[in-house]
Parts: sequence; C-alpha cells; structure tokens
Amino acid sequence: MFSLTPEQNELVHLPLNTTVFLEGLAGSGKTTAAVQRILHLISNGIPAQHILILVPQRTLAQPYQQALSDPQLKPGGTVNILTIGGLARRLVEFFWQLVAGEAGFLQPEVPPTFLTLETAQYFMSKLVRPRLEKGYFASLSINPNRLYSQILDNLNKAAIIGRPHTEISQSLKSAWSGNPGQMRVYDDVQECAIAFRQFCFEHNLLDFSLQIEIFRSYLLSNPTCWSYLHNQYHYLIAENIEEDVPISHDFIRQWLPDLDSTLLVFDRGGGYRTFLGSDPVSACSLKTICQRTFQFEGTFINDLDFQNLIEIFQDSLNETPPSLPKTNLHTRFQTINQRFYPQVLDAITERIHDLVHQQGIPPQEIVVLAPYFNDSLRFALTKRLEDAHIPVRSHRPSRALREEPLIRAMLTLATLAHPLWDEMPPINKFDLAYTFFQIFAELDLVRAQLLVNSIFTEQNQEIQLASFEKIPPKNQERITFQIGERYEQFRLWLRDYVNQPSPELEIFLIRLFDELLTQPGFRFSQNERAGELVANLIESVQKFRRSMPLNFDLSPDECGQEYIRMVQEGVIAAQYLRSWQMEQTNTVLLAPAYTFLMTNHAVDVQIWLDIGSSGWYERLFQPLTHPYVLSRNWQSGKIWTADDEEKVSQQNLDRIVLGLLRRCRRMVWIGYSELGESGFEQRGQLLRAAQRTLETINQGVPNG
Amino acid sequence: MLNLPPDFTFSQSNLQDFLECPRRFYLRHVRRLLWPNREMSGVTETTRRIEMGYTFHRLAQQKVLGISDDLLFKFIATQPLEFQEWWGNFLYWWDQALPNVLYGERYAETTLSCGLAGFRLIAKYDLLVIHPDNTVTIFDWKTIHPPVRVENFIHHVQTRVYPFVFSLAGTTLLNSQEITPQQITMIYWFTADPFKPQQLLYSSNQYQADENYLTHLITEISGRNGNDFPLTQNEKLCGHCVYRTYCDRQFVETSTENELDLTDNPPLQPPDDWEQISEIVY
Repeated sequence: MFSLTPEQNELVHLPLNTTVFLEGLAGSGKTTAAVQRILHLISNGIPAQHILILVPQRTLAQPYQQALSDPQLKPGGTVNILTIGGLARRLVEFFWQLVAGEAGFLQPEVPPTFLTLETAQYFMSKLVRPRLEKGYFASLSINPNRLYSQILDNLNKAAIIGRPHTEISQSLKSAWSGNPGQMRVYDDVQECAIAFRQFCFEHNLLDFSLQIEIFRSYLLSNPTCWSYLHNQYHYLIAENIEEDVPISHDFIRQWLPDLDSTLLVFDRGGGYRTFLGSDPVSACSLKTICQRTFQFEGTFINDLDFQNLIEIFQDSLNETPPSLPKTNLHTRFQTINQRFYPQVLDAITERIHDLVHQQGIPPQEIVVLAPYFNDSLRFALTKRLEDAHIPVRSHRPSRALREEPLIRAMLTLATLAHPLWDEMPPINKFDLAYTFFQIFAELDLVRAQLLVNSIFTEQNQEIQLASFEKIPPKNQERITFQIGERYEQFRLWLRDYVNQPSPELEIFLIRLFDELLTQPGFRFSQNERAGELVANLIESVQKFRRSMPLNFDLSPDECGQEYIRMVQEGVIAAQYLRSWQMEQTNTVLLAPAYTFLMTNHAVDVQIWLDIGSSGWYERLFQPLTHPYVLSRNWQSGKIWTADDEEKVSQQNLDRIVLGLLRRCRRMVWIGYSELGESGFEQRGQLLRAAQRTLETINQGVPNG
Repeated sequence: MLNLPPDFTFSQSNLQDFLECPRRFYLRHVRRLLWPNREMSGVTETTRRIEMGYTFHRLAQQKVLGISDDLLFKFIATQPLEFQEWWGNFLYWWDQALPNVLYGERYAETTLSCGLAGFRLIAKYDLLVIHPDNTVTIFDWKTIHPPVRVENFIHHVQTRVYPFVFSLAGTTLLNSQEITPQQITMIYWFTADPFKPQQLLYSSNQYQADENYLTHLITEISGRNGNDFPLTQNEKLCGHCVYRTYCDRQFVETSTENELDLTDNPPLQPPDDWEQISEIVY
C-alpha cells in the first residue's frame, strides 16, 4: 500500500458519497491523495467507467493515466480523463442533431466541422482582410496574424466566462482610459467577432468558443444530453481547478448535486493560466458547496532548508524585512554571473556537466527555465550541452512548422512543382539552393549555390531547371557527379509530376517524401526528425482541407495553393504540439517557465535564465484583448489603470517564483549577465528580488 | 526487458501489430514514431473508407444513445450513397435483431480492462448487450470490404481478447455478478454482408486457451529488448503499412482486410489542439 500521511489517509477513506474540496500548496500531496482516492473508489466496487477526471490541460492527466494503467487494478471499466473542451466537443459530436438547429446553424443536418486554432485563424483572416482594406484597425500597427488570433482570443474569453460574444467591445471600452481612437479599434474587433460567429453558423464550423457556447447554452439544458451525463458519470475528480476556466466551474456547480461523490483539487498558489482565462477566485468559490474541506499544509518536495529559502525569497519579493537564514543556504541558491550572455551559457553548461558527470544527478532532474525560449537561445544552449555529452531536450510547445528548414524546403518544392499556381511568392536562386542543401545528402551550401547557378533559368516568371549534362564540365566536377546523379533523379521526378494532373497537396507531399526524399542519397532517408515534421505538415494540410466548406468549391489544386499561400504569409503557422510523453525523459529539459509549471512536477535542480527580463511577470502586449478585463473578476465600468497593471505584474511574479521554488528539491541557480542577450544592461523585479535574497543569505546564520 | 511508455496498455490492435510485424509494433507503440504515409492523406480510397467506417461507428453509437432514426436519417442523407446503403441495411438488421440478440441493456463504445502478465489489457467494444438472462453478446461492426469468412476471424487476436477481457471485467456491467465464458457470444456484423453476421460462442476451454495464449504473447513482447523486433517476413503486409518507406520495403498490392479495422483507434479523430491553447502565444 502506498504510504500516506494521516490527512491523506483520512481523505482517501472518506465515505464514498462525500463531496470534498481539497486545497494546499504545490507539493503538499494533493494529487497523490486524489489518485489514491480514485483507486480506493475502484477497489470498493465503484465502476471505473462512472468516474470522470476533469483536468484543465492534458499534461496534468499524467499521474492519473499512470496509476490507472497499473495491472493490479481491479478488472472493469475505464476511467475517462477529459478537459472541459474535450468534454464539450465529445457531447457536441454525440448530440449534434439535437441542438444544431436550435443553436442557429443553418445546415443542422450536415456534420459539423471542428476548427483547429490555425483553421479558425484562416477563416478569421478571410473575414478581416477585406475590412483591413477598407481601413479597419487603421490606427494599429500590428502583424495581421496577431490581429486575427486576438479576435479569436476575445471570442474564447467571452465563451469561457459565459458572456455573450456581442458584448466584447462594450467590456473593453468601459475599461479603457487612453487614446479615444482605441474605441474605434474595439468596435472593429466586435464587428469581426460577430461576422466570424455568423460565418461559423452558416458553414457548420465550430471553433473552441462556439463548442463551449453550444455546450453551455444548449447541451447542458438538453434532457437527452443531461441524462447521458447523469447515467455515464457518478463520480467526479477535478484536478487543479484553479487553472480551469469559469465555465468549467459553473458546470461542476450545476452537476455536483447529481453526483454521488466529488473531489475538487485546488492549488492555493496556482493560477498560472490567468492570462488564458483560468480563474482561481471562481474555483475557490466551489468550496462552499462541498461537504468537507481538507487543507494540506506540508510539503513533500522542499526540505526545511529549502522552505527557509522560500520564506526569504517571498520577503524579498514583497520587499518586507527578510526572514533570517536558519542555516547556510549558499548551496541551495547560487548565481552564475558573467559580463556577457554567452559566458553565462558556457558557465551553465559547465555546472550541468559537473552535476551530471561528477555528482551523478540524473539529467531529468535538471531544468533550465526562461520566460521565453527563442530559437537562438534554444540552439545556443542545446549545442553547448550536446557538445558536453549531456542529453537535452527543449520544450517549446507550439512551433510554426514553417520555421523548420526541412519544411521550408518542402514548401519551396511544392511551389516549384505547381507552376500554374498564381500569386505565389517567387522562388529565387537562394531558396532553391537552400532547398537542395536540405534534401541532397552530402551537399554543402557552397556547392548547392553553384548547382543552382548552373541549372536555374527564369523566363516570364517560369522557372526552368537544366539537365546536369548541360552544365559546364568544370562545374560538374566541382559539384560532383554523385550529386549530379541525385539532381537528375530529382529533376526527372519533378518533370513527371508536373506533366500529370495535380492531386491534393497531401498526396504531393507524400509522393515527394516516399518516392524521392527517402531514397538513398537524400537526407530524409530513415531521418526520424524529418519524418515527424513532414507527418505534422501533412496533418496540418489535411485539417485545412477538411475544414473547407463544400460551397467554397475549391479544387484539390486550389485548396493546396491556398494552404501554401497562407502558410507563407504566416496566417497559418502550421503549428504542431508535441506530446510530453513522446519525448525522451532522461534528458535535461529546456523550457519556458510557465510550460514547466503546467506539467506540475518537481525536479532537483532549476536554473533560471534571463532573470532581468520583464517577461517573467509582465503580460504580453495585446492591443485587441485584455485577459483581466474580460474576466468575471473585473467590475464592469471600472477603468484599467497603471496601478492595476503593476498589481497584476507583482501577482504574476510572486506566483511564478513561488510556484517554481515549491517544485524544486535541492537547488536553484540563477544565470545572469551584466549585459543581456540583446546587449542591454539587465534590470527587472526578479533580478532585484534575487539580489535581495542573496544579500540575506550572505549575511549568514545569526550567531552562526 | 522492454522499456514501454508509462501509460502503455496492451490491446487487440497492438497485439495484432506485433503478430503481423514485430517491428511495426515497436515503432508504433513503443517508439510512437510518426512517419508520413499514404493513409495519412485522407484522400485515398482506403482512407475514404476508413472515414466512412468511423462515421458509421459514431452513428451506431448515437442510435444507442437515443438519437431518433428521423434525426439520424437527415444526417445520413448527406453521406455518400454507399454509406446510405450501409445504414439502411443496418437499420433493417437492427429491427430484425431487436427481439433477440439486441434485446437487453445496451452499451455502446464501452472500454473494459484487466491485468494480465504484469500489464493492463484493454478492449473497446462497439456494442455490448446484456440480456435479461445475464448472457452477453459482444458486437463488432466491420466496415471492411469484402467481408471475411468466419474461419479467418477465429484466430484473429481480437476474437481472443474481447471475450477474454469481458469474462474478467464484464461483471462491472452485471452488478458484480459472476460471469462464465459460456454466457458470452461474439458477433461480427459486416456492412458488406449485413444479413450474415458471424457468431462465435465462447467457452471455458477457449477462455483457458486464450488466457495461456495472451499471457504468453504479452510476456514474450515485454521480455524483448528494443533490438529484438524484426521486420515481418511476409512482405505483403508491408503494402499498406505506415512504416513501409521507413523500413525500406517495397509497395506490394494487397487486400485491405485488416487496415480498415477501427476497433481501438478511430484514425480520423483529430486531436483537439484547443486543449493546448495555453501553449500558444497570441
């Protein structure tokens, strides 16, 4: 039997029909108790299929999934683990015919199309672009793609707080006190949001906001749907409810009287997804409807010394007189301070090398965190660690495929293979040389450029690729005949393809991959990374094509062209989301701090980078939306002021720093340079708090 | 000892993968390797049929959930003619079967699981009917074309896994009453031959044989190391395998008997990236 504290034990063994609100800080054993409670329910005869685990994000399901795959578990049904979005979508699929007409869809008899983030953004762009040409959003200087995504964000925010999407601008305007021109911008946002919703109704499209809206307004009041929920689930465990959205809390509140038992797990220090609509205040209000409340106070992660460090850091953040160090904390909190940024990275690599190779700390017990992990930082650190023989993985969860060189090559080849596509960005010699460099094994950029210069001609915007035989012998020798052979293989394949009717873009990509790029002499042969990227690209194309309404009447070729154009313009990022579970785990992790927090696991060593950055606490610049105003906690009509901004920044900083420290067992290192990555002097609240903490630690133990 | 993902469970589909090609099992279920392949495109004949199969399964589930035939009919009228024919036959068969094999408590798309040989073994059932006399019929909708003869199914690992798992785990649907293998019948119902469902009766002997077989199979797989998952000798199986080009096997035209099986993995259910919305910077 798992060893539990008396409090955990009491909670696990409560009568089966109890509703419980369990709160505590990170590391206090809440999830462990919740997992054991589920196992207890099942071992006491509760059919597993009657239990629903609601999580705000899939990464938080991992401890439950692992426990439920234990072979010792009693035979029976299986527990469902869903997010509120997943549940909404499932119910929309099951009961579409019952509610589609009433909800306002113009073709309720036709199956719905669920939009992904990128396909939603595509349709939004279709509606916003003509308006941009008419002068909408004229006062704003913003990338159109961010404009589309922020309008979608507004729709999502309205849906998750259960407010009509028609009231977005009203809320934003009532809190605005700056330039009056912004009022017009909010009106434009509102018009686009309404037009998008109308477009979805006309074409049976469901973005996230509409799925939630249908779930809330129609499915939960439909007797057949409600009866399904009532019969299917009798027990609810909701994990990390502070990271979930108000609509999820409303649902729990409505459902709870029907359930036999409920366990709501609340992390008192959480709320990391507030900027995405999570609402700890709304979550906490569920306490009043539960029969029992449990508060777990201790920590299974931090020892007493580390708890002392947390107290000191907390005082430094609050600028209150510091707690005194009760012991020597020098080994628990250290700085890696250098003048220049690359020197910091070198020093960090040395320290990690020492930890792994000298002190025997497993790589998976080390994380390097920063507010953002851009490509250059990711590359610089990964390269250094790999050179030091330290296994490393980076987790930057969303990444545009078009940023991947291999994918850029695939997109260039798609354009090259479809000469009749119009309005496409022209292919230049550099693009093609870079593409050859990406696809031909053993070809360097210099020879790639020479090859392209030798074979590439363009007349009337039509690209001709000459045969290798026709280029001067001197160049042939420099390029090598082996590469020449590959090039001919490529050229003939392309010629055959162009002479046939164009299939769907997916088919082109698969044929290109299958018939050419995985052949001997090409770089994709048995290249798993390339395989994964191309598979993701194909999935993205497929979703795009499937979301296209029938009455758009696009031919396969037109649809492919539209996709490529949208990716090139950045409307579709072709983003893919890697599963954490798919990644190797015996590695040092590089990740944005918020991403690490949302995995909710602890490690031995944390290294914080860029602590001079305001990205640790300041919200993103989003001129078209506002996560705090579009929330239930914002009083209607109140003006958002600089004081409010400062208050939430401080709140964010406290939350993230304490959240990280509570997920660290042994030591935190902070890496900073006098001149930051961009060459400017480092400042920022976190840096100041860290310095205050160090001063306190350096004062030493009183009388010690 | 094989290093399986922490949430790994055995199922009929991954066991079948192992039996057909140990390498495919390793790449798909242990390495979880994504590799581009024709079936991914969603525009081949095979994937068109997979999509129809998925829609059929979902509609059958909706029917069990209580959506009326009239509402479903409007929906089906938007589908291809072949699909409409499938559904028409299905409804006709359903009405005929209602007083007998469909009579009782019905559960659609239900997953049961049990522990075996140190792992969890799961089975996802298209339809389970608990009859008033506590006998049970397991239905599996087969949208494959052409239909397969019953003798081809007898040795299919699904035919072993489904009744075996139900024997151990099905009591959860029977108010914890014990169930004997003799109470279980499995029926394969084919869209392509709707009036000749294939019925298989379960027995204690078969249960014992299945337990031995599955225990042995799971022990064998989990005892291997990563280098011990060779490619199949039967290259015909590579024809529609997703890893054909990864393994450098040639395309061989084959029947599509197995690849249309939707039992465990509805292949067209798109992952919901809105759930990961927090990961994306607006």
